[in-house]
Amino acid sequence: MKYSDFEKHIGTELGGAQEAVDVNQLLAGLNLGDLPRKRKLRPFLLWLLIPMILLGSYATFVAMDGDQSFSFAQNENNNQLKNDLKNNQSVPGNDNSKENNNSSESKQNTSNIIAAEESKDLLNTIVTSAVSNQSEDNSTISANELRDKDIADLQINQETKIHSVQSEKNTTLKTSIKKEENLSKTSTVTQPSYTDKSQSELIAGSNKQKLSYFKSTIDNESISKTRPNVMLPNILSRSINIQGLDAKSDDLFSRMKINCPSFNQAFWRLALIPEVGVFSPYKTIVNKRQEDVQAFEERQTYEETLEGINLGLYTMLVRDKLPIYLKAGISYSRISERTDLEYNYTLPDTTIGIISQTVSANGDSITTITGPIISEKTFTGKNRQHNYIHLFDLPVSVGYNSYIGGFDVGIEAGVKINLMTRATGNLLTSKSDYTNLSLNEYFKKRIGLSYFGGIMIGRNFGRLGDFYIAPRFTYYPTDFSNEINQISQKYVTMGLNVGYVYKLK
Amino acid sequence: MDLERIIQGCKKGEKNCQERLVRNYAPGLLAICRRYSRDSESANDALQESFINIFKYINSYSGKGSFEGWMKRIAVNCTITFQKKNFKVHFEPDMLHDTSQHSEVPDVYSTLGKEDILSLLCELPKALYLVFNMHVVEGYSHKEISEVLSISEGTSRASLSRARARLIEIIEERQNKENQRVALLHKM
Repeated sequence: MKYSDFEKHIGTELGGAQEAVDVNQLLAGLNLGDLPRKRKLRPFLLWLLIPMILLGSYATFVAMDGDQSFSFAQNENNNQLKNDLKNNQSVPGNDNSKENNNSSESKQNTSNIIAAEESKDLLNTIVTSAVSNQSEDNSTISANELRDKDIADLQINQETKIHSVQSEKNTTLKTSIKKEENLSKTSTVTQPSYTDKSQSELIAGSNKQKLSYFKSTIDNESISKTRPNVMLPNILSRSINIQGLDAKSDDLFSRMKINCPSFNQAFWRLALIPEVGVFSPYKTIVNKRQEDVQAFEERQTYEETLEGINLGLYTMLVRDKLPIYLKAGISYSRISERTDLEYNYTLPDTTIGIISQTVSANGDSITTITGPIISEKTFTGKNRQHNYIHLFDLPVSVGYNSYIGGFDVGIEAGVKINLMTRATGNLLTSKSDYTNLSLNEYFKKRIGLSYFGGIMIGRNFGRLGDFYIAPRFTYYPTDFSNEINQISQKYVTMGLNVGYVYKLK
Repeated sequence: MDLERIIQGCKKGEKNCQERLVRNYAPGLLAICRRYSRDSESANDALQESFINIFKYINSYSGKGSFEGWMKRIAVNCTITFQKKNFKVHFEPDMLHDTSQHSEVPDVYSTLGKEDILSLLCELPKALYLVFNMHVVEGYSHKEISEVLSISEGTSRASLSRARARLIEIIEERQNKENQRVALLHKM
């Protein structure tokens, strides 16, 4: 049997495989129900989240740090808390009296539930007070949120914390606490013990303790969010309410992002490509006027085009399932010219001087004739100068890419829109003189369109990413020289670029 | 109730349609989750997570293409994402020349059952096992594999080549052992 057939057999055998699953348990776990419409998290909500997190962090910091900052709020709200306390102190008393008068279990339960509800109210008051304290300290924590989230935890956490405070304060309360504890033992409701404890805490007047409640509650919450090591039945019976799924799943911190495919939908993907390269320019200069132009021959003889450099930053747009890509960006190229002028020329010089003198026998001069003296000076030497043409372009190209033998091989062609051309350095403008191009414009400020094409060979280097080399040909059809410059100048370049593909998404 | 009705019902959030979907497809999806999970517990967990995502994203299913395939991919992606912490595997990016397609496999392998095949595949290194499964069994393209596993297409191809080569090695090793055993029996 051929291996390929064996592979097909594997695909067939495993592709249609099924496993026995306890569907009822799964359904119970999923807790199916009405699904809300998919709600997209708008970008501005995301932005709103950032200041909220910052404010929340600040509030937490203040709360954690702030004995002093909180004490101010504490004094302000102390009276209200005391009032709340007074109102609620009557609750256990009522319960006690009820308990004393009625011994039946059902009535105990009733009173227990009442106590629980009232203690919940008290807790709400505490939470509201605490939240109002925090809000004065620029906190953004919502009272309702705190109330909803923390009630359960507060009820659990308080049990251990309050016993010590309780014993010191109120002996009458002690009895009621004991009764309440007894009550809680006999009933199934676990809440009543809370009422007494919160009261005793209020009597102690320790808002700091309350703050530590919130802190510890938050800590507990954060701890409980880590995935517990549970057994299979627990996992399957885990109740997930799909109705509230959107709100939960959009929470950036609570759920992993699952890549869910959507068929027949191709996506655009974007990549950022920094590129660097060198090129060899091939220059053509032509005498525009077809008559003797100074320095034309010298430039042809002595001017040499050096290698150019190219830097580019591109964005590449690729559509899934299409081998074609679109690339656009900004590019800088520099063409360098070097002129090694070897000059050897003669300049005539005319001065007025003695051209003839008559001298007597004893040596005295008799006549002196003055006139123009014509002389010739020959100059020889070497003078090396450079000039540079800087091109800022907007290249736009289309490419076709294919995966061949472990490499990404592509061809691309495009057009460069010239944004700006600048020339610097010194250009030979006569047989022996150079002109500074920064001061005198001999070239156009924009050269319009140029065309380029080439191939691209890329390879992925694992975690390093994708790199490519691209031999590229560029044709500049426009004359670089302006009207002042009588020598037309055009280029064709051949270069090699190296790029790195940074995938944005 | 036909599939189209179930899908429409699920899109509207009808409980009976959701239930029907779970009943119909949970066994198949669990088999997928099992293949990519370390143990049955995490497979069950991944299955539940898969259904949550299926119901969550069902509105994005356009109706074109196989719905079952769509769900299977969610299950695969979900399980792999779920297991990513466990799947700390290293992918070698180097290419290998794939000659496995020309290799011969003993005919007895054409009758291997699911469990035997799985035991055979389990001998592959984790990274190779993942890519092999995704490509051969699930029919993922290398581009899709590269996206799900956050590797390059080249690495995916290389891993598949390695997986095939290793699988043939494993088969040969097993065959040699079997031959030795038979020879020993004949001597006795």
